[in-house]
Amino acid sequence: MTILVLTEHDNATLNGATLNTVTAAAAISIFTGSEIHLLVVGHNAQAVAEAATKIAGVSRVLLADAPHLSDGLAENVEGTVLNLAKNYSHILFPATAYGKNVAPRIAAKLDVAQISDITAVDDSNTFARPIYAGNAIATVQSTDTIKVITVRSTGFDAAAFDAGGATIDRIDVAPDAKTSQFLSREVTKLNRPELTGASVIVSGGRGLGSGENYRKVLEPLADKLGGALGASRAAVDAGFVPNDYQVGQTGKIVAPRLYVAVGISGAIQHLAGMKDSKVIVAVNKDPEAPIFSVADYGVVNDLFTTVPELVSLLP
Amino acid sequence: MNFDLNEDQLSIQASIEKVCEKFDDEYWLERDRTGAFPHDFHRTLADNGWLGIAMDPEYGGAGLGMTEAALMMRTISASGAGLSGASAVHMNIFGLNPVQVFGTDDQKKRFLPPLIEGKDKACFAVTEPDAGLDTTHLKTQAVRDGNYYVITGRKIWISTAQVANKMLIIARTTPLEKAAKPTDGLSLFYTDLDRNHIEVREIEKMGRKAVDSNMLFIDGLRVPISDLIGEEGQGFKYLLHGLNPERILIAAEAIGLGQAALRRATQYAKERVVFGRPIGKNQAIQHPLAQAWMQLEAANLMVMKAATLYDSNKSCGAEANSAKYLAAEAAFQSCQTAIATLGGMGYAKEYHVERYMRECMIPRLAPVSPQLILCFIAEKVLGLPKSY
Amino acid sequence: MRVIVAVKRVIDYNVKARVKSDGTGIDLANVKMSMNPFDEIAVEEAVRLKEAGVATEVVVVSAGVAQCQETLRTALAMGADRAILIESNEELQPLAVAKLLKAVVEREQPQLILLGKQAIDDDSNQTGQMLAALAGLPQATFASKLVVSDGRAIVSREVDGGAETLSLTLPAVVTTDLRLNEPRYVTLPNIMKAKKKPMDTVKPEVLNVDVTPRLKTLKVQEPAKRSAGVIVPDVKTLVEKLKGEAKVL
Repeated sequence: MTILVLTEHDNATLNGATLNTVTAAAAISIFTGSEIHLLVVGHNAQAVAEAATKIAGVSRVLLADAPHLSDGLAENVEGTVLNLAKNYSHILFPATAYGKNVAPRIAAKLDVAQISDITAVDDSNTFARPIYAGNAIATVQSTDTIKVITVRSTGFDAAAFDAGGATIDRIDVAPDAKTSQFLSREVTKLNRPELTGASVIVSGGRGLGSGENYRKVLEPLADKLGGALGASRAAVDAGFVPNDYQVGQTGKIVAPRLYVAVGISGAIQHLAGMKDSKVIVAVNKDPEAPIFSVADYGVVNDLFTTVPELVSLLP
Repeated sequence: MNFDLNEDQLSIQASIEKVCEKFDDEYWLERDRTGAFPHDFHRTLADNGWLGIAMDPEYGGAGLGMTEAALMMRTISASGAGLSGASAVHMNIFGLNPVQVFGTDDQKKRFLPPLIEGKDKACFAVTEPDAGLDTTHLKTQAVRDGNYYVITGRKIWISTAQVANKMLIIARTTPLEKAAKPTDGLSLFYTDLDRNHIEVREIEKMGRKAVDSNMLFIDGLRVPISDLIGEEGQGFKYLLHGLNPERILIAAEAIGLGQAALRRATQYAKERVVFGRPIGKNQAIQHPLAQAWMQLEAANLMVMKAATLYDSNKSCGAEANSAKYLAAEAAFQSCQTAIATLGGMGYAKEYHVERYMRECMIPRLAPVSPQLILCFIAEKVLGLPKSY
Repeated sequence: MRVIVAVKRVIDYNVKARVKSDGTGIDLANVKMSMNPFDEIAVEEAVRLKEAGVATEVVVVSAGVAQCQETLRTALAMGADRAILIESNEELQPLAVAKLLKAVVEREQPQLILLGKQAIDDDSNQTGQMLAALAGLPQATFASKLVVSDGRAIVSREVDGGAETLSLTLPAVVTTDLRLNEPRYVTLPNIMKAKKKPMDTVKPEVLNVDVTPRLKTLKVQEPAKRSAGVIVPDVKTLVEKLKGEAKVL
């Protein structure tokens, strides 16, 4: 029984979500005594493979490197993974856009169920996962011989790096399926921490009124706290910020040390994305706003006076 | 006896609920504060074909029955829009039924499509300061003058006259003394609401500020004879035709209002923790809410029975009047229970239930008083002697 | 071009799901059910393709209990042409649904298959991808823009750091994300028109699919409750508490 973990990366650097996924793999291997292998699928991704060898608990790194694998096209990744899937008892992906895109294809081709967004490992067959926008946690048991799983980063700590020692093995690459073509990518430029990995998040809702207000009011706060910026669906729909700022059931799931919700009412779907944050602060002038039911500290006041005051009082 | 909604009715309910989602509690709270007519709400319903739900498909309607219309009105009201939402469109749902049944083809073509499309807004001018329940004693006169009738008189409690451009009005073309019987000599007109000859004065009232109620002072309004509906002098008969549907719709709206209040109160009872337990755990809180539910359900059954009878062309006077009575009383109980359940918060505008309470007096009082309904049932159903 | 849209009947978006006290699942008794919001977006996109003259027929499919007919009727009232109900009272998990859809795809030979990216009840986000793999088709998930031209689907998709654009050969599977479109209201005239549109029912056995669930749900429970918070009177107090009590500053 060996466990395979798919690496999240951009061909140059390893993404933190991989570390949380390795921890989940380690949790499974407590029950099975399995080795953990990491698979890097990409192009000119040697540096990623090398970084992967330094993750504690990883015994082997497999590298599938080819031009048609450079952009994570699901149809191409599928072929390469299926070549070695049968050697593994568990195949884990981070529950990122990439992982969620590919994992089900692997499961379907193996004729096994896929288990999405696990937040805990009960044993080698049994996992906990959120359902109904996180209003319930289901414990599910798989009867399949191979378990294909996506791992929610906020459910597991990041694995540490150590001196390394895993080997890097180049593996055979399945040919280009040629059914999909990567055309372009627009990445939001950020001079601040990335949302899903940040330890502090300042998040704004419709109460801010405009994109200009969002920036004027929240950026100073995020700067002071060294935090990432997030938003509710309402704020995104209103065009205040780009789509990838959205925190929620169908947006980003986050669990920072500190989450400051400004002008966010706290719809079920938003709470689903942030209610596991360690400390939640809410600022809203509506005392009945549902956000206060999850906030550790609430300020019932006008955000346009409260936030600047907060910025001025922060160390 | 099938009590389930059929597939069309389920679709109707789901679709209306979806339209109403956008017009949330804050929207209605604001409307009640400022009194601004919900034009965009009316427009959205009109654009999606809902105003014509019970009107003839030949003129753009959907040709469905009172059952579907009542379901629609209840659903609108229950969303939290209450009477403010319902009254904004109520008149346009069935008010022009006399035109549909008794009008000429030309009149139907002229009048029905613009109303169904939402281009026209019509008000219904029947009630007068000195003639509320006893319609036959109304004093507004329509005097023939060549190709016109000239109308002079006063009307009161005319909803939407601030925003309407058309008016369905009943007036005496034959004076009461000269009529063979009191129900003769009244004529029905559907005409332009000409503000040069009609002064519309809004009445400040207890609730439903968004949909205005008014006094109309009509002075020498010239109405072309092509705006006379049916025969001169037969207007009362035409009016009677629409009475039962009127009661059915208002009853449905009252039930929706009661359900909105019950929903809010129940949610609050689940969440509000006092002395370490949710107040909903206390029987003194639960029991009145349970009663409200039962009363609303029972009244709803009467509404649906009345609507079903109407749609099958059967007599439904007892059921329609009972439905109005029962629904209004059930709504009142539900609304005042909701305020009591919310305690102090029930008195605050931002918790909405006080608004529902102010609105629920309307179906209690209008279009006919509960006392007259009791007389009606006593006489017409139980065969007891008329008391007035 | 024929487009197939898969829709699921789920708990209504506005309803807060409650866990049954016996821990076996969510209490769905008397709970309002509606079309999965992402599926509504998929139906809307298909209907727009038809209105633009790109699609010639829109077929909606749903798998589940008989009441799924209501969901299909809504889709027909939005503008779909034909509906297929795969009727089953079994628990249908994504792998089974993907297999059922594959059978329908084989019958109907569509050029485009649209699905919502995830159902808001199980939040699995798998069915579209599984279908694509089983049918050997390319996929574009979390679509925020879809253009069909020259026998290809050009799709912009939302990914973690922003967006990317792919070009797929047809037939292809596309799953919809929130920003793809805003679904239309169902109008009363369209509800009436939808009554005349065909709705066929078929059983999983007829499609030769074994829908036995692979995952067993052992228990369903509420998430750990956060302990109650406090409303602080002013910002000064907030900062003090964040420093001293919560120790996050």
